[in-house]
Amino acid sequence: MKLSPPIRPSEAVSTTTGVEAPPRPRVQPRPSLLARLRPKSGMGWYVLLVLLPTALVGLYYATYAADMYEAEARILVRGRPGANASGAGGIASILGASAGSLRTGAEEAQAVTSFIDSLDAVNGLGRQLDLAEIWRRPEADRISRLWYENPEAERLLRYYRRRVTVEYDLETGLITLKVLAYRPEDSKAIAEALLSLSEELVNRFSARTSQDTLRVGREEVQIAERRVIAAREALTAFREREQTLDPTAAAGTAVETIGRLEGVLAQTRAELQEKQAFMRRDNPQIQVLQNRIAALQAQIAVERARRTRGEENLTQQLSGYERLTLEREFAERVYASAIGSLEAARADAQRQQVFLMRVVEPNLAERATFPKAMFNTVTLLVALTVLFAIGWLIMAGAREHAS
Amino acid sequence: MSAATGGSGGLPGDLPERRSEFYRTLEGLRVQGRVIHALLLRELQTRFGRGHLGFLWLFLEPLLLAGVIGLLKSLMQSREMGNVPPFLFVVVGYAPYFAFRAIINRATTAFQANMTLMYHRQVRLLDIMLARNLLEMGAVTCVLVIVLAGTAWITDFSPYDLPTMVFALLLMFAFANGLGLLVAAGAARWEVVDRIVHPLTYIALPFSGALFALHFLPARWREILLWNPQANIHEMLRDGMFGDQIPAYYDLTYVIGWVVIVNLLGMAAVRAVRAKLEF
Amino acid sequence: MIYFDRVSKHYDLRGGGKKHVLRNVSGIIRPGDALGILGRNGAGKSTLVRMLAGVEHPNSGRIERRMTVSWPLAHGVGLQNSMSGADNARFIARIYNQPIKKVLDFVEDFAELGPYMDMPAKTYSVGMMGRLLLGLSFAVDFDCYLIDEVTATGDQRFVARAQALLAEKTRGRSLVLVSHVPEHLKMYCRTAAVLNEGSLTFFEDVDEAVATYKAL
Repeated sequence: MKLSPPIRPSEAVSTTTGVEAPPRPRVQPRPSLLARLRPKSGMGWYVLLVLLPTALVGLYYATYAADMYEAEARILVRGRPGANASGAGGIASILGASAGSLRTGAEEAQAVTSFIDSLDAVNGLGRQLDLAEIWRRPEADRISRLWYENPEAERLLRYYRRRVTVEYDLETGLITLKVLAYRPEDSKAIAEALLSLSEELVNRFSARTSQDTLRVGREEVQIAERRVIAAREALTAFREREQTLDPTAAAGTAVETIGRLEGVLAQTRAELQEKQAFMRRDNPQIQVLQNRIAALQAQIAVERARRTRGEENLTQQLSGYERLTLEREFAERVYASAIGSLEAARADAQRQQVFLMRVVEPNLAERATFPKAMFNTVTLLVALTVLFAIGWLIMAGAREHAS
Repeated sequence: MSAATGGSGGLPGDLPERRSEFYRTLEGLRVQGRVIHALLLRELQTRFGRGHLGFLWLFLEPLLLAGVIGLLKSLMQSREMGNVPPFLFVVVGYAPYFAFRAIINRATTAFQANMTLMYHRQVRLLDIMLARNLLEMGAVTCVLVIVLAGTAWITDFSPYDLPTMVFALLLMFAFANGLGLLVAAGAARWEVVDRIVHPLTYIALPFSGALFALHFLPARWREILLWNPQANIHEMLRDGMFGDQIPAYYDLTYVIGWVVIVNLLGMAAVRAVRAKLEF
Repeated sequence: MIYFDRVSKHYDLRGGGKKHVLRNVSGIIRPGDALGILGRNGAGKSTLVRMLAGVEHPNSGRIERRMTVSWPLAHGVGLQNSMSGADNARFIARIYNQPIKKVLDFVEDFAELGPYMDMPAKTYSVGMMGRLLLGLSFAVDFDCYLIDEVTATGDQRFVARAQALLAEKTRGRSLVLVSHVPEHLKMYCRTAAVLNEGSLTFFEDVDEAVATYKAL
């Protein structure tokens, strides 16, 4: 290869600068261990930061990692069709489809999904199973197992979330539950327990909704009932107090008595006048008649006095009585309608019932499908490589500024 | 006197010792910071002149646009916003999209307009892009801060989860940055890119999820839109802003994956296109 | 010190094919050197200077700079036309980590732009542009100045001032001057090289180089 001759600094400059020192011997201090281990090139850094960690992780999976068994279950949370359907507006209606959130039981399904992912579920499981023991079986490896013997709730939850995944598919409404444990029967037991907890939850939902809808109806009925009873009691009390079954009828009798007495009086007077026409004044018959008239008049006066004296009383009695009977009739009608609404509410509650359907029961795994050694290692390699590339681009870019 | 020996191909013996890689990286980062700062100030000047009103316009432009759309939407009372104030909904959706669009659109001319800067060794293409993008991000961040502080003061409505919101905003910026790098490199290489990017940013608006919540879409459409990382980011922003008032749908890992990949490709593309640029 | 080793550079031509500008060029520029490079138009002088400045990269070979090197000083490059001279000065000061005041004062003093200092650079005349550029580049102290035909502009008085400044600034420092005018080399340079057909030939003596260049 032909090279151009190197240029020489001119005499003038070398005399002015005068710093052409002989090549100084390079003293190479023995580099420290850290300095010797530090990569000298980009490739070295790649090996250190990407290939080495990947290799370690791969080695872990290949030799040490404990097998895990997966139990999978699918459930469906459904309500009775036709309930809870309101039209969707806006874009959804333009696009001509009903939004997923309007599917019956969708809200409950999402509630179940977030329940399974929650501390409540972990605590619920803890009452049935010893989670710490399950995830610290002797066959578990030290890295993937639960690290604490008596974990706090939050730590347990964090581990639980790595081992139990739950997904809700909006399209189909299916909830898929996947549980990982070191023994197939463990993962199945956890999945079973979670399903029954979810069932309880859904039943509680249903009970709660029907309670809510029925409670108002029941209260209405109770109020109406009390009103009817009160009205009847008031009527009875009135009758007992007034010593009369029906004051209307009693008032009628008094008027009738006076009328009859007055009739008899008028008849007697007529008879007297007739007798006076042909009888002497001192005829004892006339005397008798006159006496009878006086007696009748006295009786009528008495009756009248009795009536007028008690007149106010009676009118009051009458109006009070009428009010009480009206109240009773009204209360009875309200009662009947409250019973009707309660029936309707009961039917409504029936329709709003949601229930959990087990589509796929938790299975007992026969083969350990986890951990996914190959997939995880390759993913790690790719991710680290991408990150390394970005870091390298940034660092190389920065270094160019300094040249 | 020593004659230089360049023949063997190796370094001559009396070259000064090169400083360590680590030191140079550190020094480089310092220089880079300085350059980006200088470019930021320069960008402000060339875009808005030295007048103070020009400086204001940087914030006013997105603020006005978002404000007008927000008011229109408040009057129309559309359902895609749930029960949150429509004005806030639009500002939170549109302002970040505005920054995104500005970054992408301006990326097409980023290199042509700044070729003369290439005569300064320490100014790299990446610095030019970063300075421009930081400016847009800063402007939109200011707009958001003003709007949010204003509403918090007037109506007592404050973001539900500020860290989530900030993180989402950062992701949006990072995503726009990576995409902008790709666009800039592409536009420098092929003229077509410049022509198709502008219409694309308009076409992309309905698919970005900036102006409506995915919750009010049918599940099928939602699933399709969620392939777009931008829709995820906008959902996350709204999640941070409104919390439970609008159910949000996003996959953080997916978004971060996109952001990382796009930035990696963008930086690599900018490096690759460097040699092809003529000045 | 700038060290370049087996540097090659070619451009892709439209419709395929390559134009080789430099082929396996090596050399060292030491502190205190004043090197002139002669070459015809299109011989690749500007490319070489840009590569020495580190703003363009060789296709093969490598270039290492162990001293601060100016940007390639050529007419109008590195300036933003829409910004004023003062803003350009501030920008240069910022990216080269110089005190802004010092740079501004120096440029104002040297370039004598007066009120034009605050006008956009696109309103400047060719002479003003050259003065601004020289002022800017000498406001920053570099170990090595790379000049691409810049001395050709300006009136007599300015040329004299520029020469004086150049002599002062490059004392004990390095200068690489690229030109197709031999007289400029004789004025500033102590050694010279001729760039022709992609290869660079060094001469201890400038006159020798000029003679070779003229014989081409």
